Amino acid sequence: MKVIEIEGRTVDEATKKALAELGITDASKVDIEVTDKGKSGIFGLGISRPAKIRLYYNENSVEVKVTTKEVIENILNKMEIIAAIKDIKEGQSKVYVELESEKHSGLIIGRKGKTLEALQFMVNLMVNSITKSDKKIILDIELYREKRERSLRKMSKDIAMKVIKTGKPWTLEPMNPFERRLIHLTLQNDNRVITKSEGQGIYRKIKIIPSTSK
Amino acid sequence: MDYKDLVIYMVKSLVDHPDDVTINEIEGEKSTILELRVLKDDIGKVIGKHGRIARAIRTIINASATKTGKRVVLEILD
Repeated sequence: MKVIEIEGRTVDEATKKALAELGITDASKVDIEVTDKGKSGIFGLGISRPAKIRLYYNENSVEVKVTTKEVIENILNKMEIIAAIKDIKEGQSKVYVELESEKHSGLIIGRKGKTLEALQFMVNLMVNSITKSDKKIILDIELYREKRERSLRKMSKDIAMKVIKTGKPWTLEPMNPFERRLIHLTLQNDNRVITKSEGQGIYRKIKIIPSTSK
Repeated sequence: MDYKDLVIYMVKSLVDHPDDVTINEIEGEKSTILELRVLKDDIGKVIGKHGRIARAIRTIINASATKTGKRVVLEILD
């Protein structure tokens, strides 16, 4: 726990100022103690006194977010990629970062999201090694992840239909654990097919099997 | 494009001995070879399980290299 003291015209203003200074957006993560409510002079007359607050915050919640921002900006900068952080949100166990880039979003995503995946992996390692936290950082750009999820769901349903029709199993291309899980979940309620994972490591892929042939 | 700087930045924040990280850049006509050297104790931190970290570093280098059309090869030496 750390403490800072901040003055402002009103209590509200002082709180906003303190949060902005620390880079915290979630006010519920800090404890605020009002030490002086302040006094505003009427019509500019009288003696006005600034409000004072004391803000108790957790050191970690500041560091992770600031470090994440720094690391991402440094990497993109050194890659000579023009992109900006559009939004950064911090939750209990996750940090969600949304990037935006006019020219280079395709480059940041890469083929089948490979580059975005690599960037996310590196940023996680670097931030966690610097701050010693274990928060998971999620990188997204222009809602790529949402779109990818939707297309994976649709693709897996289409292939399941084909498997049901032909009665022959179909093996999908290799995917990461997150994507495989998504497909297993999408098809788990369809009792006409069974999904299985095969292979090792990065080559692990899903096989969609008709439930009649065992 | 300074690949050296990019790799050094990423690697230094992963290892226990950042002062012992060195990179030698060999520039050819069509490709650039980066020879990364770290202390023996740190080599696992640069390669990762099943080479996951090394692969991520290479993917990131290659993404920034696509703009120049050059091939960049990262070699990890000890």
